[in-house]
Amino acid sequence: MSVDENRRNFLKGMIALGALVVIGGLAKPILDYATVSGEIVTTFPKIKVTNISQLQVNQPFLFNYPLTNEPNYLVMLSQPAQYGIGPQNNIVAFSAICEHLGCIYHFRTSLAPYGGPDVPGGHCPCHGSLYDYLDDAKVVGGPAPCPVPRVILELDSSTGDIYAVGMEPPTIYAHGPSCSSDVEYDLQGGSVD
Amino acid sequence: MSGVLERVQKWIEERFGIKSVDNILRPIPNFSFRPDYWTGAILTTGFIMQGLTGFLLLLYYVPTPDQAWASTHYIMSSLPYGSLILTFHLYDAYAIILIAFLHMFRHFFVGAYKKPREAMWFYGVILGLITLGFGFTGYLLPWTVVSKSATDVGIGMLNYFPNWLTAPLKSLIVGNGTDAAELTRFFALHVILLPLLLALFLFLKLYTFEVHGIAPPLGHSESENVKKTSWMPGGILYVLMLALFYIGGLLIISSVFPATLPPEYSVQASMSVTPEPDWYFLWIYQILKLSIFEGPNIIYALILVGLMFVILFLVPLIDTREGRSPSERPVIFTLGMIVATSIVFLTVWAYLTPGLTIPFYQAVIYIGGIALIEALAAYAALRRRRSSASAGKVHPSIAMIVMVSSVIGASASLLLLEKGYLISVLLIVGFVYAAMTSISKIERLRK
Repeated sequence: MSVDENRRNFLKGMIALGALVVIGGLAKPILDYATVSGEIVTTFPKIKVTNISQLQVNQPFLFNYPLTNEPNYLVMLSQPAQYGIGPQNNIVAFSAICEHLGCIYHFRTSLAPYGGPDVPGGHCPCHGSLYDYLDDAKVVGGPAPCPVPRVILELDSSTGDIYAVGMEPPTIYAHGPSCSSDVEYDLQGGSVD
Repeated sequence: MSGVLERVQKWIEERFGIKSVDNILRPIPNFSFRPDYWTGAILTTGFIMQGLTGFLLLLYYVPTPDQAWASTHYIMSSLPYGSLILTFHLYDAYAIILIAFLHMFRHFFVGAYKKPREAMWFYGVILGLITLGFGFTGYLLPWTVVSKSATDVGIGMLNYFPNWLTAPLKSLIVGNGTDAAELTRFFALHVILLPLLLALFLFLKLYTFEVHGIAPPLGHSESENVKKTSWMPGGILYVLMLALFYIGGLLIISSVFPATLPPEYSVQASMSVTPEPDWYFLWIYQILKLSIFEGPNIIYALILVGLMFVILFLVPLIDTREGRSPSERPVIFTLGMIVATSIVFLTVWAYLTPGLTIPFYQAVIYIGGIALIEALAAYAALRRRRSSASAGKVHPSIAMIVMVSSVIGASASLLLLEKGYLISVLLIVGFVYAAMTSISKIERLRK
């Protein structure tokens, strides 16, 4: 009794093909289901942060912008800063997330104790990155690959309300490629409250 | 009496199809009645206990950002035995990771990955990665300030990879990037996907174990006839004893040293902590902290660590010669020793230097020193062995002594790090000298 090998192989092939179709057909829906992206926001919202009368010198105010997982420091410095707003040009806001590995860094009135210049700015406890708040958060120490991004602020001089209206490049840590210049990434990977 | 037992067995076999154990599982060799042959059984026990305690925790734990910490706190502070169950779950996880490392190095050093047991090694490395996955996902679940911050740092490292790789991967792990999505997904991975994968690979591994049996001791061949004992009751009793000792020991430790819950995560709270991974990731963390990996260079550190795991996986395909004793494979054996020592060293070092960038030259001095000393020790041991009249195989315990003493030496030297590394080097040399002396003593005793 002879066995028709061709016939057998054909049947085996059909089973394999069937299995492949089932797995392949399932893979895409499951992947699509599992990788749902967040809300699509394409423009930066205008959000009231606080009122100028609430601010105290060198007391950082923490707020989320533009998404709820993007904390920033708003601080009224004791001296004018580059791009500072307000009557004394001393109010600035920067992302609170260190650009090195995404730790929340600390605001310090002077970076001198941490090996930096005697300027107010950010000091990251993780690996010692230093950001100079007087000079647009320029990196003045540590391993950070780029400055933390600045929040674009607007002051309504009639009411004293301070609004966040956008972000300057680079992108906030963990949003888009590291230190990208395309700020649209700041609007992805989270939700607007 | 035995007549009754046999009749009962026969009755069961006829109706349920369950045969006596000896028809299902091969008997185990008598030489294996030693705990170091059964580290895998202890790990299996550990995983079973994780399943049981995990189920109990699931009764009260709520995986949402505003409830996760509170429900964990409730389990620990308000429920009867809640603190014990949670502590046990945590310590069991720690013990599993520690024993898994020991298990791996043990089988590396006795060469148990060699033909025909290569598949066991592959499954083992996969199971090891699953175990680390359990650790990584489980760390986040209590939503404490350190664990959440450290997990975010871990996820953030993905950003240094090209975006076409990062975007889909991040989307899979943390969904849309909100805290809620991150926690939900880690929770789902921790309690469903990883246990499924664990069960699958553990089954495959145990099946292969049953096919090949336990690797014979060094210097004995696979085909040798050895005395064996049936699983019923000898094997079962022995493994059960180990399991109960393990569970009992962990229970005692969990009751005497209950875990404490760090404060809840919030952005405000995270401003005052330095995120640290749990201890089993510290050695990787220390590599990332090296000065040459600053800034965007961190991607090379990540690639380096990834490469280490790839090489680890491929060990049975790299070292394919038949001989299992250290003197027959001195190079890979010594490399294994250096890696084992370096992992312990880096872990202790990371613990001592939280959040500090490590100058690269320091790492070169320390790791290079360890490597040099161990290579010299291995070379000396090999020479001594080769030149001795009874030329043949170095007993593994000799190499073990060298390794253990240099681990202790390296770690102790770290503790003295503050006092300058001259003392540390002296200490390492001293330990190696002591080890070498004890080796020659052992050899003299043997003769």
